[in-house]
Amino acid sequence: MITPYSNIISVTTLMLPIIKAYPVPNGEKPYIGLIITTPNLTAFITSNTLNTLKKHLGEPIEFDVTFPELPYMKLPITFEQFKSDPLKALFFAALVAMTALYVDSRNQMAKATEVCEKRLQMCEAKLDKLTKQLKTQDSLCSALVTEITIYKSLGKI
Amino acid sequence: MKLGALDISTVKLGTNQVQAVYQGANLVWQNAPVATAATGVGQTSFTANWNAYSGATYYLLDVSESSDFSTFVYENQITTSTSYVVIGLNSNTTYYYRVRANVGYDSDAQAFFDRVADAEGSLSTTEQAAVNQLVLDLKANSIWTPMKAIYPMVGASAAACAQNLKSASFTGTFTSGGSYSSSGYNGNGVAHMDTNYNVNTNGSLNSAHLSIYSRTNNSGSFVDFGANPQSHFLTYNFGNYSSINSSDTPAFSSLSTSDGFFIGSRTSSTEARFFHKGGSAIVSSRSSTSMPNLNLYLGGLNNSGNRAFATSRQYAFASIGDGLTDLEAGYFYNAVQTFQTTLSRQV
Repeated sequence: MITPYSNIISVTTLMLPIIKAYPVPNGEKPYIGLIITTPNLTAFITSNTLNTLKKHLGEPIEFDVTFPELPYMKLPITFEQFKSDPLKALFFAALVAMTALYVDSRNQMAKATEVCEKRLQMCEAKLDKLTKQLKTQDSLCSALVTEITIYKSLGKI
Repeated sequence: MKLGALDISTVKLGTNQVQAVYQGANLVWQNAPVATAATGVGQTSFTANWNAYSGATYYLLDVSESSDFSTFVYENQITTSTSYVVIGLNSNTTYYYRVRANVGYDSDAQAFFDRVADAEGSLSTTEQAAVNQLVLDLKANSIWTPMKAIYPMVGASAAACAQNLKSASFTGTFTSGGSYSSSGYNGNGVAHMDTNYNVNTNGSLNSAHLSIYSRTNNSGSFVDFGANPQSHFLTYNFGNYSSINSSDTPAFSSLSTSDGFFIGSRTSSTEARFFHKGGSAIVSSRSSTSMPNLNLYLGGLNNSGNRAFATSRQYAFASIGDGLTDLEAGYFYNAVQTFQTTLSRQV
């Protein structure tokens, strides 16, 4: 025996995420970002997966959005300690400055290294080109010497 | 309790009537299961839930996009659980679901379960639910009576696959091996099942049908079900024709597949019909001549008492019976396809 029908339950499925890509402003440092909007959340993410996501713009796509906790940096001294012992505070400030300078110098060095590598590559390319031209000239010179020798043997010159 | 102007507590109920009552804000039938809120709602799926119903052997779930269930996403989806994961939906869309409970088993289905048990076979609760619903669907569409033998091919054993759902007669006899699984009986190129159904003794010249549900698509000179001479067989040579009680050469040649549900049927002396996967009838004007005085073999042809054209196909259903009209063949296909879908072996 089959019973009559139960009561009716309605249920609405969730929306698919809406993906919006924002263009990079001219003249600014390239920065890639996406806004992900779903019925339950709005998240701003930076991601190397942009190329993958771009392929799906305008199409349904399902993926997980994770929210890593922002690192919380605890200062080595409190403000109260700073007030009570300015010498330590200055030492700390100097340490911060030195760290910043060190990081900056590392960045500068990396940039300089990058520029040098590019110039080195250009020089190597030019050297290859000149070597090839020299070989061509050398071959041409040999051919001319041979031709002159032939003319001499024929008594033309 | 008031229902509009009607106080339903004063309505006297007859033997087959049911009473509606309020459960919270919902008016529900008192002798029906109670559906509860969906869980696990996602973009393309959700889990439908309902309370257990006393004595229920399985439940029938409907899912629709319309609150009046004029169309269906799922219709009579059978489950033995009190929840069901509905998948393949559209996002941001409202769906409605309702459920019915089946209490006990149909007496013919129960008799089949008993025969399987007597033969030391066993059936899962899902298989029992699927078989019971098949019986109910066949009876509801008046195609139970025309059946003489139905082999649901459940139970993953020779003992269970050999049983005839319709009656205790025509229990099959397997020969030369083959294998059995939850998907049915699988021939091995030399094996077959003798249905012990003699066509001349038990059949009717101008009202007969054969059906098989093949899960294998392979080409070759095979016969799935039949006896010869005085051809009475279903699908030959890559599933492209059948013959029902006619010694004339069949004219069907339009198919190039051997899987799915095939029905060969004759309801008159002047033509026979062939159906594949619920499609339109392919009509042959071959007249009936005579019936073979032989048992029908499944998985090959009983050719004058010798097995011939044996297959290596997998069979998930077979039936023998009276002729079926186009309408009956359509109902038959729907019932068998629902049966196979419940068992997750549809093709």
